[in-house]
Amino acid sequence: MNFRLLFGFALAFIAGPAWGQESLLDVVLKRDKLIVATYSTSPPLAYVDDNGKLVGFEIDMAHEIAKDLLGDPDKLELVVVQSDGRFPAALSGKIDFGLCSTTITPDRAVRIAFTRPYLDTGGSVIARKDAGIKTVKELNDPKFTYAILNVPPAIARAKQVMPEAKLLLLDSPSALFLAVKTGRAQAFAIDKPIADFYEAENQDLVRLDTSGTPFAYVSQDSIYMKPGDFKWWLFLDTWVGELRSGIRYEKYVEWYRKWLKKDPPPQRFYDYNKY
Amino acid sequence: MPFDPHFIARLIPALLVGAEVTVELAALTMAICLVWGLVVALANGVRGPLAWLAGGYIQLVRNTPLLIQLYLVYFGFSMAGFGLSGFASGLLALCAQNGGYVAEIYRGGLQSVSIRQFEAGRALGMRRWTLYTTVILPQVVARVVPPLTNQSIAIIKDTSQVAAIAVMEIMKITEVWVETSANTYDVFLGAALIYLALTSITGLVGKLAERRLAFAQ
Repeated sequence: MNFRLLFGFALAFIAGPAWGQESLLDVVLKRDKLIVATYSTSPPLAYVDDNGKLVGFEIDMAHEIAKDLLGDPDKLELVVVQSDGRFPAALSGKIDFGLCSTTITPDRAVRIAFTRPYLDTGGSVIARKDAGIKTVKELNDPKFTYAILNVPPAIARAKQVMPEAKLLLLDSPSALFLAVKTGRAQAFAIDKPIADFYEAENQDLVRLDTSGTPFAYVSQDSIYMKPGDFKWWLFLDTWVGELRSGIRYEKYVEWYRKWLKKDPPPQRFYDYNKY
Repeated sequence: MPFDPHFIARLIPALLVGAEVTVELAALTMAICLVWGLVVALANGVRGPLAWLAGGYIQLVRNTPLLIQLYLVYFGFSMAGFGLSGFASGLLALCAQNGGYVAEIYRGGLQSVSIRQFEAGRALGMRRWTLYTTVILPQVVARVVPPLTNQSIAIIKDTSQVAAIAVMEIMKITEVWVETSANTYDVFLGAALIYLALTSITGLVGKLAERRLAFAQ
């Protein structure tokens, strides 16, 4: 045998296993359990219901992914994280991926891998009825205190639209809600699906008109994970793609109606039967 | 990747803005607690209802988590109609809790002076004032300095919990940077270094004070 060929084989043999660590996809299959980070205070996406059970749109997603991977929706361990613990949980390998109402931002994409988005969100602003305001622009007044999450999109919008209002930076949707309920703040901003939930549950709160402001723009929530694992990312990205516009769209409709009380965006932007 | 030096160079100035608030909060807390703790310790020393009140207060604040006290002051007072700012709520909760600890430190210091010294002073015909200012208190002060230094360090670290009620101190700015960059390790590392610097300086000042007061021992 040609010596050079032999050397090549030897190199391939040595280098093969050293190429990279085993993909998480294989690790999960071998472990026979999926470990997912979620929130517990962001209704209706992930929250604890009256029976003390973790439920929501994102929880249903996690169970479905476990079912597709391992054949059983309950081969799933949910790890409840706070917002500042969600990225290290993924980077340190404590979880397989995170489903934490996480907005894709270019800053984050430097260090974290995102799938395509599974949910359109945007800022919604909810105010106390007794504050006597109807639009977000009216909130731009030093006499008002405005509570937001300490996350980049919310801070950017607040500085742009209501630089005059006092800002209150808190770290969970439930803390924002508490701040407004107790009168610490007159209004709070939160992702649209969560705002829908709070508005429906509370008669003393009112949604503010956001038209003509950056609040009307869409941002996107996605599954995040440790970057660099192509096989794992590809599986999850494919999964989300099929959920939004492919063979799992039925589930998407089901969860949208169940948790968000409305229909999801259409499967195609054009009429499929026409082409 | 962690340990991105360019990132840390951008991070540190932002954290230092928060450090100013942390230092203000910790210094005010310590200053107030030095006085408030003494009041509580003295009240606890006399017999009667005042002592029960002081004892109850110490038990209450020492045995409940600071975070809950912060929420109660910040959200609870607001519900009652007289909301304090985040900074003021934080200061109040920190002083309430640490005042209890400082009072106990004072009590320990006083009790550490042997009863015989009081008796000896009286036997020598010293007046109460002279006895306290020249014999007892110098020893007490020298003995409470090390635990008070400890307490100051604990206070500096405790201020990080005030982030939960929206005070823009080191921890809050840390959270915002973590959210923005997803670079958790570097941000937490930077914050830890700043806390370490603050607590080390405090420890050093404590050591100097100890050395200064060593004559009393």
